[in-house]
Amino acid sequence: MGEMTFKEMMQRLDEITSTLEKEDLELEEGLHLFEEGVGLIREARKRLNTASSKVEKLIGSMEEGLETVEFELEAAGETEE
Amino acid sequence: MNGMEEERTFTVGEVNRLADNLLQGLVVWVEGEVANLRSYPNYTFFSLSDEDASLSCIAFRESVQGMEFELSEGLSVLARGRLGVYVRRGQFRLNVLEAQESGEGKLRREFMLLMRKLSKEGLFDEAVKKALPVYPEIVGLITSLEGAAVRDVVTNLTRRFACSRLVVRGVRVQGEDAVGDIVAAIGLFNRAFPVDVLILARGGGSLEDLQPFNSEEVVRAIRFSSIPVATGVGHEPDMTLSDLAADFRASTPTGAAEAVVPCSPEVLTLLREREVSLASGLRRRLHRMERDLGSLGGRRPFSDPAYIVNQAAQSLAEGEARLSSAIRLSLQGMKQGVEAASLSLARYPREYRELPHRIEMAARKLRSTAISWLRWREREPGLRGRDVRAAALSVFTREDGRLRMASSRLDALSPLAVLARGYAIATRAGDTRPLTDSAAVEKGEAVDVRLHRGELHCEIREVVIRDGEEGREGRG
Repeated sequence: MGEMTFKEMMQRLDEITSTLEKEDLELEEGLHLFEEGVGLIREARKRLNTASSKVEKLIGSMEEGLETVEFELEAAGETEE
Repeated sequence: MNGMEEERTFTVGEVNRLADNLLQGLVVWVEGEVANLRSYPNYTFFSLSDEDASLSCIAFRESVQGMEFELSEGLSVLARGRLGVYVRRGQFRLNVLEAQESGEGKLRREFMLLMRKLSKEGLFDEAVKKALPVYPEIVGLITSLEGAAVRDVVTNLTRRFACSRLVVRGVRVQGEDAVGDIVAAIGLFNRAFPVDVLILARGGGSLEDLQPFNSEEVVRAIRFSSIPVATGVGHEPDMTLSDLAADFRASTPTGAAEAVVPCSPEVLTLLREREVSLASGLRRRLHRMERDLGSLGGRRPFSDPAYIVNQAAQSLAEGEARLSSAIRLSLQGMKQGVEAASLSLARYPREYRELPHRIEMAARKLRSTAISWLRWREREPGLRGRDVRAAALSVFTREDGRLRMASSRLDALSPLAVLARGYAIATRAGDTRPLTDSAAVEKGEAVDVRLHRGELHCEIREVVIRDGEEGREGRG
């Protein structure tokens, strides 16, 4: 589950919800899906609440190679607007 | 200065022509705003003015027709014309040969023309627009690193949704190099650094400032980007061609950031909803199963388990009752038969008298068979009372038949029956064993003869022995 992206988790969660709502499953399978869904919700919440955004600057060129470096917002002035 | 010119008097016309000649047909470029516009079929009069001065202009039909725009009051125009003096009136004026819009007006005009052209190509069609991803893992931002736009996007994006990674590519957003920078950055992300969505942002500015975002090159780069592009350029009233080509258009950089990532509190709400629907989905399933169980449990065998046992016990009891009455009847019949037989046999030789006993034994055996069969029947509740009865009846019918046959054979063998046909049984007086050999008695011995009806007490007068080997003979 740790390997899943946020998008994948939300997609899987949608799948589980609609399967549980519509299809006639065996009770055991339903319980499995329910547990999986609850786990996904827990993980998604954790990520939402604990993740801190990563902002990077893409430098270099395609010819010379690209790399990302940490981007400091303070460097951005207010010269425009 | 005062030389010969003063001595010569010029006509008005000569003076005006002189002035015209002195200008030598000078051709100039001049920029000003159109005023006092008067149009005639063959020529148009107007003046070009700025803050300081005003210049009379005339444009002949051919020149007007060559213009790519329509002259109108207040329009900024860059005109090329020949300076001269209209001799009849002595009017200094510019004979406009060609003109084009200048400044904002020109840009606006170009904007409209390009918009029409690109629109015809279908570059702005809603149908070709890509949907923005709901939960982007990586967001690419193309903007100036120095502007307020980058701060707006970074701040809003990270505040809303911390699960996305933001990668900024700095570009110049105005000036000659802006178009090349922006096009290159879009290409860079598409070819070398794939992201889930791109934001193209810039703070507000004049139409001229926004010019790169109205360039055909940038519009095409946006449209042909395989990564969805959201624009956040300028402020509300400004609309660039980039906005029209983008998959999503926000009026500000902040708006673009908000469109590109979800809002964490909203996602949390969604998660809460999912949680509820998961639980209710499971609950619904359980309820359905409960209901199914309930309706099953309501059926008699489950609600009243004793019912099954009672049913079996009842049919067993019924079967038993029928069986025992059948046995009783049969046994009664047999007993009567046996009693009659044994009565009639009572006085006959042992082998005959043993018959009733054997029959009695057979009857006992039959009874015990019947009982053990009944017990087996108890252990096999699968059989129904009806079957038991039928089976029992067939057994008893069979046994009854055998009994009857035995009785009739017994009747046939009965000495009584033989006597009835005229035979007699002779025994030594006081003995019950029938005499079968004349050699067993002596002359003068007393012999009893049993007839069908009554007896004779006789005395042997002669013994005749009739035997192939011995040939002894005696007479009674």
